[in-house]
Amino acid sequence: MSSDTKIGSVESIFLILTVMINHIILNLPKNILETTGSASLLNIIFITLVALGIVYLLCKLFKRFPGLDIIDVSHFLGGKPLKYIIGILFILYFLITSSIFLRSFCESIKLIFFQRTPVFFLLVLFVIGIVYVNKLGNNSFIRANTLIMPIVLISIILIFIFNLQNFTLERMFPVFGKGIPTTFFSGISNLFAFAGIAFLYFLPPSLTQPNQYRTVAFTSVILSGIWLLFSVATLLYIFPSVVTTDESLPLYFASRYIEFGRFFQRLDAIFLLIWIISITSYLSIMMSFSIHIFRKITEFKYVYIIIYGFAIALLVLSLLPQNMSQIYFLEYPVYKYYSLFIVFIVGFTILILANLKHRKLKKGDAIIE
Amino acid sequence: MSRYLKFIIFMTLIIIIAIPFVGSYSVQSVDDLAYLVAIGIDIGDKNNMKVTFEFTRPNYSGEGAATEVSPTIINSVEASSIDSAITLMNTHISKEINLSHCKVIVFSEKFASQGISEQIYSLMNRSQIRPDTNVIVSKCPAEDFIENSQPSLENLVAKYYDIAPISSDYTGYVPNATLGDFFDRLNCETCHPTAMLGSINIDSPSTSSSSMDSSFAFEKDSQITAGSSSIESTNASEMIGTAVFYWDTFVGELNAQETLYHLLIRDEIESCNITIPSSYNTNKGLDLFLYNEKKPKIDIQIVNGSPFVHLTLNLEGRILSVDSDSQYDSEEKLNELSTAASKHINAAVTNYLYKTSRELKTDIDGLGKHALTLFLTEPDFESYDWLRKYRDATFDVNVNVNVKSAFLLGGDS
Amino acid sequence: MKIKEFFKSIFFVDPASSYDFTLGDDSFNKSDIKAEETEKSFESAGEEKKVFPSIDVNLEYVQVKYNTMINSDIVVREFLVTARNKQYRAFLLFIDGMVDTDLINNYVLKPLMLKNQANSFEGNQNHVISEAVTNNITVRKVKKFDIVEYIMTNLFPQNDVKQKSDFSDIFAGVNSGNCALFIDTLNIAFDIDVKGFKQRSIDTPNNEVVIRGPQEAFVEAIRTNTSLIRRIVHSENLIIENISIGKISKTNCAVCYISNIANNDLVAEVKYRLNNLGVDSLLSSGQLEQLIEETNKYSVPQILATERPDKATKYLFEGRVIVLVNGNPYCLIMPATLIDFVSSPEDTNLKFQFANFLKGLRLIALFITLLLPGMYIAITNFHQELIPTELLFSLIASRENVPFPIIFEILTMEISFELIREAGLRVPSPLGSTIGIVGALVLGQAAVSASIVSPILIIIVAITGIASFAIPDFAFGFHIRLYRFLFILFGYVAGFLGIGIGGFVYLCILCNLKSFGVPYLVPFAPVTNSNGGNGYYISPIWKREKRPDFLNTKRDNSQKHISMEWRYRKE
Repeated sequence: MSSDTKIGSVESIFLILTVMINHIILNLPKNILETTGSASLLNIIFITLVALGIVYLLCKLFKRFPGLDIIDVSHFLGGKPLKYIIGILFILYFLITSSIFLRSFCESIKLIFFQRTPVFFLLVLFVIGIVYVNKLGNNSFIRANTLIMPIVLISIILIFIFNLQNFTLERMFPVFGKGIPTTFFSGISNLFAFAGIAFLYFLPPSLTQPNQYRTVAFTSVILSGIWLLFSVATLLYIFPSVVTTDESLPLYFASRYIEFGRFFQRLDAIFLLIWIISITSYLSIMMSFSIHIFRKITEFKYVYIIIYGFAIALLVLSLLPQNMSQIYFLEYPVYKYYSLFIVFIVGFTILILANLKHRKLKKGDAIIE
Repeated sequence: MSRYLKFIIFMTLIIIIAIPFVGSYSVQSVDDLAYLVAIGIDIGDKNNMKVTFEFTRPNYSGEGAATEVSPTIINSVEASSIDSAITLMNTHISKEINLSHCKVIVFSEKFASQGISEQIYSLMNRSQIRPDTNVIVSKCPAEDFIENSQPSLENLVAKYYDIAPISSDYTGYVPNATLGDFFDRLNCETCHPTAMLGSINIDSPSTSSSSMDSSFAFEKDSQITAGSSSIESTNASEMIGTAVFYWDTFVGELNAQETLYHLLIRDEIESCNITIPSSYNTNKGLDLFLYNEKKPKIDIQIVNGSPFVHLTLNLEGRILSVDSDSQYDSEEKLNELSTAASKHINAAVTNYLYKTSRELKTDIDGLGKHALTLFLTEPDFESYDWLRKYRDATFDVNVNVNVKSAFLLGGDS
Repeated sequence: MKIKEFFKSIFFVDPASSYDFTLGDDSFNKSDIKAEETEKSFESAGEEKKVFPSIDVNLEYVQVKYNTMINSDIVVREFLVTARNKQYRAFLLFIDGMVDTDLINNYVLKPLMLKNQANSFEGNQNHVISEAVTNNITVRKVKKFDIVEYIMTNLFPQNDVKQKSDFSDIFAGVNSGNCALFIDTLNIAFDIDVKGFKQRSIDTPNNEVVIRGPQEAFVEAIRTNTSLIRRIVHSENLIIENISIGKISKTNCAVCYISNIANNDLVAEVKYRLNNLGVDSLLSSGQLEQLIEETNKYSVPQILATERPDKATKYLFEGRVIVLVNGNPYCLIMPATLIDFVSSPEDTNLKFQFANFLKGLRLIALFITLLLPGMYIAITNFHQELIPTELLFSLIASRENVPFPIIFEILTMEISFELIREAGLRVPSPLGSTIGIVGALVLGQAAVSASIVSPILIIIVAITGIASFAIPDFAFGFHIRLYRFLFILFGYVAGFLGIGIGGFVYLCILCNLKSFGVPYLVPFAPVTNSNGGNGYYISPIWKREKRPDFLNTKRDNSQKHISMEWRYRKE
């Protein structure tokens, strides 16, 4: 995300989708099913609508600041200190979530493929890939992401389609799952699934066609909603709720149920191959966003040393958790509420305040005139 | 200079990373693994269980395989759990055991009636095992069952295990019960698991079938279970009927005919043959080729706290057994036949359903899922406790058979 | 000190300082002049422009039209025509390489310039055709002296000379190899047939064979090559510029482009790179390719090389630039994207269904060449559950007596396959097939029966080898073959994890590449408009309406919206 990177509309839509899709591959559908049970589908439609409303507001709020991202806006609002605070909050957010994500995925990969390999080496492999790709420049992996994303999206659809024979449609009943309040009020917390909106805060300066901002935002949220629906539906219809909440990588579990004739019996490794590529891409993007913010607030010229530094931070952070229960704790409640806090509270507050300030300044101007 | 340094650093990194992976490679390579084809679990004499492992002889499918040599290797060990049995077996055989191509898991009847949830869970906990592995409950010791399962039409025993359950689709005499399915139903609040029923058939036929209280001779054909069929062949093992579980405990068995109705209700069958009494000769049967025209319609009401199940089966089909004097071209005749078939199947299905609820007390048909719509929230449903209430269920079965014609000889003969 | 520099090179690198050329919109032609006007300027090529009576005006017009200042093979020869002892200013216009110079020297210039009997004859001004006397009045039919006729009849010992008054006709003649003679005071020009191509030395292409298509290839002589291109393009807008490269060798290179299609920035960038090469000598286009590519780090070819004039001109018409190197029968086409490397010249000649079928095959071949051996080793070492059970058992059975680990087996076989290929190329051609037979058949059979390798592995290696031959471009095929070994390594080290991460990095490298400012994976990454037949699969010929979007050409459409006008002609 260096300042000279220009991103087209399609690329940016996929960029925002990446966050959601990769969390879907990991444990997102499971976490949603855990909160809302059989009413998850209803809940997803509901939170997608809520997310659309939020995005609409976001576009409105950004209208006053064309070509500025959240860092610039906070600079406008509170000067350098606020810029630093917001920048660091977002860097921490990107870095911590991606390191937890990395660790969690590596643990699952280790369980599936490499029982005897220390997890450290799996992490290192990913980190080397991320560092190399980041050194190539942002254009490269944002474009690569555009190429990969359709395949990943298709893979999720394929899991849905090939599992149709295993579906028990009645599992979506009882309609209101764990009760109406859970579905519609505390279920709003499932909004963290749309954490990809965080990228929307940083896109305005990089879009090749800035007037497409709103289209990008809406399309990405709608697509995210659709794929969330697909993946949750797959899990909900295949597994009894008890099973889902026990599994790690639930979508991988679902892919194991695919039977495609007698010859192709276990295609799960192929799906995992696609997802490994997708996850490397996601982590690289997260990394590049933190680097972008860091460079923006410090105006530090040399990128390579930041990349190495952040990579080591990523590795160290991901090595911190001791066991799986800590990882799950970090991955679900911590990630959930940190996302909600950063994306939907901090970002919004800054934007609203900045808008108020802008209006006040304008009024002042008007009086002087 | 810097280029060389970079190159050296790059190579060192690769080597450092390669070592731990390659370490695991040396034991994971295809050469060093022994692929299990079947696992059998019996009650042990000295320990909890006796686990039987079946491997394929590696060079059997290759060129110049000696045909006299048995294609499989069967070893067994007594241990306290499956995992420790695998460990023990690993010390015995040269290669490491890998479950990724395991086709069947056989539990002996005795073992299954003690509860097998621990085994199912620990198997599903391994990433190697496939969810589509078949689960068989054998009426004889599992070891005997595996030993007697020799492929006759296939070269490989793995292929035999692969193909055999497919007959479920067109005979309906045995369910294609898989491990993943079993596991799911074990965790399900609306259904109970089933398994395939297997046995070896060494006794002379017709010994056990006398126990069936059938009024018609032809019904004997389908009122059989594994081990009691009249099949005579070199391959002594057979899979006929369903093993019914209450949660993880084996509680009873369904014979071939009941299995067929079970599959019809679950809509897991493509076509089947059902014999109904002929209207001409009561001692003679008439074979019908039937299939579900559309999905069975199941409506559940809760009357006085206990479920009242409306079940509508819509079957369609043609006549298989044609005689010289039978005239299946008239509509009258066909309607007559359809009503007769409906009546016969209706009675049989009702019997079957009452057997599951009253006698076996398990909802293996998964009727409970249709009751889910009656509740608004999950806690409501949980407090209703469907699986317990199912014992008091009342059934209203409605079977519509539409016999269309005979096959080729449908015209006036 | 050096260590300090080394660390600097690792940690303190400012990426902004690296060379980065982006192909901009050709703003001059795109936004200032409306699309319609460019359209008009195209039409004006066919507009009726008559020859002016003044030779200076004509000369200027011709020079502007043909860009004679930069166009290297356009020759304008000014001289004085001697006719009836009078001298007229005149000039000849022709294209070097398309005409027979002997013909021009002996039968055009000689009779016109040199004094001889024919042109020094000075007779009556008026030529009396007939005379009749009636009533003492003499009526004389007199024909005035006509220099045109005079030259036609007396001065051209040529079989085919035509008088043309429209510039368009004249240019058409010149473009097809005639020479035009303009003479002062005349408002016509002479179109003299002096065609003379070097037909004999042109051979059929050896390495890019097609079934339905022209069977001629570039040769070593640059002038012949430019004439080959001229003969196909037939437009005065085709510019062929000469640039000599190499301080000692002074190798002649020609930059060819169509001036009203190609992007100015692109042309300027190509010329800029060619003009700024500090080499002593330049021997081949292969060298030049490496010298002007954006990066040589990843062995990915970014410039297309071809020996076929038809392929080269196809890209010229798309708005790309071609560089010919004297002494080398391969021309360089730039910019080139990934799609160009997997499309064959045959695609143009086939129905789109056949071409797309072949393109699909090539895509499969690409993946097989790159990934199959790596996948094989990953699957056999880490993901055996992926193999269907029966296949697995036959695989195990085939490997039962093989003593080597799979990685060793596969590397041995791949390397010996490369050896066979290299040896087959280098030996005298009569022996080439022997090497193939001995190497592939005998060796393979012996290795299998001696249980040194398993038969399945031989199949894998053979499929990979065959697939690698299906990649049309030699350089790209080479690159894929090389990277195959990397993927074998990745698969060996960490199975699908290694292949996944390695694959992603490789994809990023491809995405990062640029060929003369054009992203390598365009139109997929970045996503650009691929309508009008510029995607991977080609659309029917009548739907290929657009030139590639990424080239930012001056003329977007390559055909009318309805190209089959005969079908939809409005009465």
